[in-house]
Amino acid sequence: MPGPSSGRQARRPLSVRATRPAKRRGANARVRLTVGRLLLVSALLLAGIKLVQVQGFEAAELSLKAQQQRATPQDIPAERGAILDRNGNQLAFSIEARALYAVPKLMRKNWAEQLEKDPSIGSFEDHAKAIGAAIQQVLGTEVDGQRTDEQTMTEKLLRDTTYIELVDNVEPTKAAAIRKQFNEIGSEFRAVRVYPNGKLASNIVGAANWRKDMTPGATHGQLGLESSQDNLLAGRNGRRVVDTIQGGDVVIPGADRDRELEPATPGKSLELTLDIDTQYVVQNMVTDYTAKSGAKSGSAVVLDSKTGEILAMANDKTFDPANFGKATEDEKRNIAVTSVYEPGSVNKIITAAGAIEDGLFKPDEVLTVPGRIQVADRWIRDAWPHGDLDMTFTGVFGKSSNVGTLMAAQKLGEERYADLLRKFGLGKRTGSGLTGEEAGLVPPLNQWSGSTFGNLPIGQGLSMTLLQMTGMYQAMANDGLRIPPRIIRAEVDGNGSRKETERPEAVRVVSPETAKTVREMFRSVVQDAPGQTGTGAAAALSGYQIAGKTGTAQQIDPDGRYSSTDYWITFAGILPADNPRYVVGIMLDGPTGTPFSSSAAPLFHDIASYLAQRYQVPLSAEQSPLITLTP
Amino acid sequence: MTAPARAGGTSPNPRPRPEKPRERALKSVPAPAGSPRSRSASTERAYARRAQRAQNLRGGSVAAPRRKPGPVAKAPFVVMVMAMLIVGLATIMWLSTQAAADSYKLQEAHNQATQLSLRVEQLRQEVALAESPTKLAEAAAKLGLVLAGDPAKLKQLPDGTVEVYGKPSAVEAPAPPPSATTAPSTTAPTTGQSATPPPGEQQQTPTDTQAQQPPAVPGG
Repeated sequence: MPGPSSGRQARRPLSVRATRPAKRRGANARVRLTVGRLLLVSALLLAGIKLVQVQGFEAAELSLKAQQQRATPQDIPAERGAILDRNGNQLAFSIEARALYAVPKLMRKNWAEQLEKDPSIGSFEDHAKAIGAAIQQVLGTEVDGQRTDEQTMTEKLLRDTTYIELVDNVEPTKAAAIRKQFNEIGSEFRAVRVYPNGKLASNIVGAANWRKDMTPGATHGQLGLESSQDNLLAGRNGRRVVDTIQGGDVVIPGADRDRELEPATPGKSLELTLDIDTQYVVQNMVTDYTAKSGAKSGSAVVLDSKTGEILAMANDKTFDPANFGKATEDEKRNIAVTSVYEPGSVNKIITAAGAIEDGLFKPDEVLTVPGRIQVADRWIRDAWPHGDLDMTFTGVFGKSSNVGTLMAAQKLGEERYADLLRKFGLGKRTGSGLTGEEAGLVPPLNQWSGSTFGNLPIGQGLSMTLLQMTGMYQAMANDGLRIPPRIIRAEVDGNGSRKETERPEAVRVVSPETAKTVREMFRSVVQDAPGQTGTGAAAALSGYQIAGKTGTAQQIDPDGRYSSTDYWITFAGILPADNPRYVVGIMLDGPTGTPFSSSAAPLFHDIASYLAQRYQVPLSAEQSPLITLTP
Repeated sequence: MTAPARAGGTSPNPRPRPEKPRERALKSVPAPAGSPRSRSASTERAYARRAQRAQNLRGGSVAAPRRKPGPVAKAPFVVMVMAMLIVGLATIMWLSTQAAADSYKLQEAHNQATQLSLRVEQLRQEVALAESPTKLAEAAAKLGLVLAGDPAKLKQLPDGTVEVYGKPSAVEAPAPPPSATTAPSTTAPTTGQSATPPPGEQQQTPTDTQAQQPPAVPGG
């Protein structure tokens, strides 16, 4: 019977017949085989169990541990958006740089260890000197005002400290060259904000710098638009994980060793309404004229009359944004929006516009203007003494008669006047987007005292910023439609798509006809004719009709009274009056002691002349006719 | 694995190797040669198997041709599998080497791209700096150029006559004349006003009264 049983039966006789030692040997083999088999099986089982344990139950934990050992999370720095002018010229942008640092204590220790093994390498001091020499060779003796000569570098490396920053804002290629020679020198990412125009428009653009105190370090705005628009400009950092060798920051190369978790979102760029060329010229003119007039400060604003866009806004004092820490408070301020003043006669345009709009006066209507007028308990006079004087309504403004203006204002009424103040945008921030903007102070109607209405029409007793004042004239230039001025024209994102910022809502101040009439009336201010000369003849620009208004307001003395020596000298004008393109506002704070101290009209002339050339403004079709001021 | 060792004897296709211990065991049994002792049935079968084996070892003519095609048919398959394994292994090694090499190349390309973008950035910075009006003004001043100031304007009337607005005036030469370059540079802006030659023929014609009123130069 064949089969396993027969095999077993065949064996029995063999074992029976085998000699004793043979039999013992066979039993031994069987035991050994069984034990060996058991051992192997149990080893396999154990291995299997461990496998299941490692691969199944502990898998997540272990892989996490492994990742922690080799993976180093890193930030992908987001590129900060640039600030551009209306023609795409860069006013501020960021470039990549490196900061070089060293760990002197650790370097010294490592060097000592190596020195034991190989005494020929020389002392650590020599090594530090060699590094210093290499740095000087690559970077020169100065980077961005930081000394990088051999001596300074060596001295820093020999300091008894754990960490020291050697030099900031190094070009990445140069940093790499140094690190190639001495890999113990560390390099860290930095972004440097570059302001190619330096001081130009710095009180508008502001300044940003690298903030080490923030985690992660990044460029953040400190002043101006850089600060107020920081969220928009900064973008959002991305995250990635790289595999590094243990205990070091050397990234292991390989495609799968660099995993981007989240891409960086670059910041948006801002396109401003400024024209940097105009800004440059206006800036120079304002600085020169402020110095010439002996004023404490001066500023000028140029608006596009159709859009209310700020083409130029210059203050006599600016600062270097690359070194803003050293700037004084005065230099950092953008006085065109942060400083309020009493506008003086420039404010008379409100009365003129109201009176024409309401049909109270006609431009050529003749008024008999006395030498003074009583408002409540106060007597208000003209700037020049006169008795009863016949003046056209135009002449009241051409000659800047306070008495004539108040006569018109009283006809207009307090309520209507207060309504006009509001429509002209006074007492309220313009919302231009500039930082630190002031609202100015306009006393509310219910708080007016008897004499208030004797002050406001002639531009005293209320305050405004230069931008607000220029905005009033923009309304007249734009046919009675006031468009609040703005500085940010568009946002441009990383892939170049441009989004215009929403246009501010326009405010209808007066009818187009009124605006035209007022512009024609205010041409008389710059008129220069025998006996019919306006107060701002120096503002005239040959070939163009100019409408404008001079202003002189008394400043307030520390004792709370109007000063008889300190004035705010203002001017606001429209170029050209017959087909307005640009509106210019000028303010000089306390000019004194020179022939230029009494008027800002010459500065208007200079700015208008430049604007006419720069934007190729066509000559006026007709020149201003001779307007009768005093019949 | 262990089964044939034990059941080898019963295998219908007995092979010499697994049988070996059994053979030895059988040999140790005293030879039965013609022994009158009656054998059990199993012993009988063992003897029969032994005889069969002996015949087989001697080169039995029946089994030999049947077994021979076995190894011959399997050899190419094994060789093929080995070749495939070797080729596969080689391919894998080659590919992984390539991948590693490529990743280094990629890294290098990345580095190069970074370098180039940094260079672009640097150049952009230089251009932006050179383009700034401040720098342009400095460069122009170095060339001896001066601002044109307040130009006079010409206006052609429908009847063909030309009116001049403003008073053309030569600008002042820059204060520190940089040697030879001064002479040509001062004349350049004056002619640049383009108003200088026309007034030559137009000056006599009565110009607009207003045009002459404002001072040509501010502060004059």
